[in-house]
This record gives sequence, structure tokens and C-alpha cells, in this order.
Amino acid sequence: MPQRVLGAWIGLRGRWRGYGLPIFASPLLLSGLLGAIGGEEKIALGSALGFGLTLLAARVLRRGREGDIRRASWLVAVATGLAAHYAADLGSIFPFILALGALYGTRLSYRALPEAPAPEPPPPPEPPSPVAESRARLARVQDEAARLQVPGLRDVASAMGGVLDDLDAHPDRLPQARRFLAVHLDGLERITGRLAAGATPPATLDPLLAELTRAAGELRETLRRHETENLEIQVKVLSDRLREEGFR
Amino acid sequence: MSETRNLPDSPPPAPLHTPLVWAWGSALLTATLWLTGTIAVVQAVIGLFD
Repeated sequence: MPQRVLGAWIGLRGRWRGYGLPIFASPLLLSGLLGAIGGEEKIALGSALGFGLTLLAARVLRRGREGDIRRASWLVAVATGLAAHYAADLGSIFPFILALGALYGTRLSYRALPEAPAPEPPPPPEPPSPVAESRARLARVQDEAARLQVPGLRDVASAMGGVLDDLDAHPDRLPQARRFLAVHLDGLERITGRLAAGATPPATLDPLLAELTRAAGELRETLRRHETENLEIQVKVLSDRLREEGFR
Repeated sequence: MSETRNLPDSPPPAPLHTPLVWAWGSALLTATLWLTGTIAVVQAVIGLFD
């Protein structure tokens, strides 16, 4: 029974935690007001710092996360020390003693109150998929190609866009196309970069671009053929199995 | 039979003398923070009549 009463009491204090702290600091409101009226800047400053930090401590306590009681205790200690030094004019040693007392006082006052565990840090953003990354690179090449008015470049970019479309639809084909993407896209980026820097296209550029376009088309064809071959194998295996099992 | 193996560990119950600890903490806060404020009020009043 006493344990149940204590549990209920802890629950109640947990819900109202932090609201009592400003009451302990309330004389600082009056001293701040009187200090401001009397033109005592030190008193007004010390009172404002003391009360403000106590309010901050109360806010931290209200949050109720793991370690917040410890943080709030330090805030109250600093508030007490500053108020004792500036507002109460207690010299240099006494404020430290009072701050220490306030530190332990706050810790003891809120002992055994439940604290929620700190929230998990958000998971790091997933790295972009190779296809998405390649698509972003290709988009830059396409923009440059549109600006440079080199038709061959546009054709290659368009053909490579087709490869990326295929890979988007069938990500399982990515391992077979990874090397193609690395070599061709890299080469295309370098060519575009040089042309954008003002290089004159050599005579061999157009055949090379045509070759790249053809290679992209061939890759799509090869990937599609692989799929067809895989399907043929599956059909054959299933037919043999059905025959062995006596269903055909 | 109820399944209790996968329940998270609940914190141990607070000792029964916890309210005394709270009272002692509140007394400390009164003797430090509240007293500091009160002395500051006295200082401010003295400053008013200085």
C-alpha cells in the first residue's frame, strides 16, 4: 500500500515537475524590479540572470528526458551563483557554496522521477542508388548537350537514358550494366566538359559518339536477350519437371 | 499462463524514504536559491533608500 501511494505521488510529481522551481526564484522578480527602479544595474542584471536561468531549468525539467534533471540542476546552480554574486552582492566565495547547495537541492528534489530515454538519432540518409546517381550525371550531360548544339551528343545521352530506363524497370540487370555506365558515362562527361570549356570538336568525335550510341543500344538488346534466354531456360526446366512428374 | 519473458525491465521501485529526500532537496533549494533572492530584495530595498 505505501509503495502504491508513493508510486502515485511520483506520477503526480512527474506531471507537475519543474513548475516549483520559479517559485523558489520568485524573490528575484521583486529584487529585479526594485533594482531597476532604484537604478541598481548589478541587482537588476543578477536578478534577471537568476530568474531567467531558473525558468530555463524548469523548461528542461518539463521535457523529462534522460539526463534532464542533471542539466536542470546545473542551470539552477549557475542561476543561484550569478544571482548571489550580482544581485545579493555576496562576494566570490559564498555564491559558489550557494550554487553547490542549489545543485544538490535540485537533484534531491527531483530524485526518482521517471525520465524518458533520449530519442534515437535519425538514421543517416540512404546513399543514392547507382541508377539515380547516373541519371543525375546524365541530366547534367543532357543540359550541356542542349546548350552546345552537338546532335551526336544528344543522341548518346538519349540512348544512355534508355539504358537507365531499362535499369529502373529491372534493377536486377544493374550488375551487368555497371561497367558500361562507369566507362561510357565517365567518357561522355569528360567530352562534354571539354566541349563546354570551348574545345573544337575533332573529326573523330562524331564516329565516336555514333559508336557510343550504338553500344548503348546493343547493351539494351543484350540485356533483353539475357532475359529471354533466362525465360527459355525456365520454361524448359519446368516442362522437363512436369514430364518427369508424369503431368504431361 | 502469461508470457513475461520479453517484457522490458521495469525500473526498481523507489525507496519509501524518497519523500524525505525531496523534502531535504526543497529545504536546500530554499536555503540557497530562495535565500539568495531574499537577500537580493533586501539589497535592492537598501539601494532604493541609499
